[in-house]
Amino acid sequence: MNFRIKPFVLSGINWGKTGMRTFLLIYGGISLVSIAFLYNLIAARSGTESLSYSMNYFSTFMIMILINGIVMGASKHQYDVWLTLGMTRKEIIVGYIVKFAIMSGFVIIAYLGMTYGLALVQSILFKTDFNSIVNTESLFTLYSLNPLTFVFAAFFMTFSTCAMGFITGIVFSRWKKIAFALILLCGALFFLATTNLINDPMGTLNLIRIVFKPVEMFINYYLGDHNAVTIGINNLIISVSLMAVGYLFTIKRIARIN
Amino acid sequence: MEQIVLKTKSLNKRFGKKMAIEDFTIELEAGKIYGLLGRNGAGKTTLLKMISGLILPTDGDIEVFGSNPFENTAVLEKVCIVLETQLWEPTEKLANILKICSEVYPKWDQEYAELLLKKFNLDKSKKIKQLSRGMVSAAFIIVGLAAKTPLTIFDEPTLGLDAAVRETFYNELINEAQEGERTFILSTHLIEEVHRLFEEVIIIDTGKLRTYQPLEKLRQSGYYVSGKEDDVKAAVEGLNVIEMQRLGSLAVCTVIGDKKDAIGKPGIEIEPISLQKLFVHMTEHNKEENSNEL
Repeated sequence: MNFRIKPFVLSGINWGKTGMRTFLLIYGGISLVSIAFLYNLIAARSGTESLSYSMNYFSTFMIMILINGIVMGASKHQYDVWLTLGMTRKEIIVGYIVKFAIMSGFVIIAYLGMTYGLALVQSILFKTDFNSIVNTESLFTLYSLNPLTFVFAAFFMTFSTCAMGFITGIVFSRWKKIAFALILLCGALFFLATTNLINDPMGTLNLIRIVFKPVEMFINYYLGDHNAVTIGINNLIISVSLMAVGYLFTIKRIARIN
Repeated sequence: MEQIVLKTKSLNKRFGKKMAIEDFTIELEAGKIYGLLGRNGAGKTTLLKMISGLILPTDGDIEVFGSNPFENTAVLEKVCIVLETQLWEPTEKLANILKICSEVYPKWDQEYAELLLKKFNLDKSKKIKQLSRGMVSAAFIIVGLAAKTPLTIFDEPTLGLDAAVRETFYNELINEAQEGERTFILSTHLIEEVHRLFEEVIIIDTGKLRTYQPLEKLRQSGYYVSGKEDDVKAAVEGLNVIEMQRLGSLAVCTVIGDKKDAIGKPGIEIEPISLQKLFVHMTEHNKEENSNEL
């Protein structure tokens, strides 16, 4: 089948650029101000301190992406635009996947730009080694990620977050009662997870992870216990699962074939 | 034999208990401008959405260029629908919309789009939210015209447009239709203003096809009789009068039927009925019996 992808690529690039620009302006501004504040505070000293922003950027990115996805999913206009342009439903589904992937790409560019850019600013201001600042970035150190494996993992994390937001948006816009019930369920699971974490750190979380455990074991067997790859693959599976659910919801939502 | 662009047979569309389109059978030929008229909620947009594959009929058959349009790329590439309500994100730039359209419609004419932007005095670097209602309408008229699709559908496209821009649109529409390769369906409430464009008129009422005729033939369905009140009354006696208006000693009667019934009677003038008057008469439900005579 001949899928027309280019219109979605154009739309996705526009979306990604807008998102990236907004984020860089807001978060870049805040970060620079806080660095400047710290610089003034410690200007008299040798200044070995460095700020680790990456985790904050990433979680904020994720929230932004989630909201973006929700807005996109909740807006029936988005589908109707493509439908009125004569795109088929199958093309629209593939098109959304393309748009999420493009957005993920822009998020990673923005993230790496911010991380390295601000590390450079800090290294100049505090006269410290650039690499040592980058190496303290918590997201890299937390999972022992090198930038390349980070890109792999981050791509799928962003993609799945976007897809999750999208589906949430669809559920919210059409099935408000179901959405409410799902939120309650998620709340209960989260409560269980956090309370159990105190006594049994991985107990409840493993209940959720068990679905993906066979794949994780398979990967570990062949690739060794490599966190980054496992995270990436897990997120890929989650993304695909979410998109499969999304496909069902979306087909029902946009077809309106009664 | 003329190419058939659209063919529907016993088309029905039901939303819950409401029948939006009922037993709708029609055939449209290529290279004409069709006027689709109907009152609010008559089912015009539903019909147009089925034609352009946006929704499925509940039952019945629909063929556009010989095939079912639903999920059919080969057909959908040949159809452009410009809806009354524009659904693009308010933050989308007009330039980006035109760029996307150029990728969707195989015969997209960018030069023509640029020319129309100038004619409609639109800045393509503007976002949708920065345009007035009329400017948004003009922007999507450009999409409909520059798409160069063999079948182009305009659903109430002139909302908010000033008279000068509307006139430009009508002229462009005529030029495009004159090339003979494009078929237009134009749904509008501005009947008097637009009727000169129509070659054929489709009137839809509560989801049913009321009439489908060439404009000239349809306008022969009725006539105005004017003159002194007594003369007019004498001339129309026994005829199917749907309305009489008095202005001092003068009167104008609207009559449904063949005008030869009134020709030759003394002291009166006869003029063709307006499409709007006919439309109102045909879609007034308390006068249904009269309209059935057409």
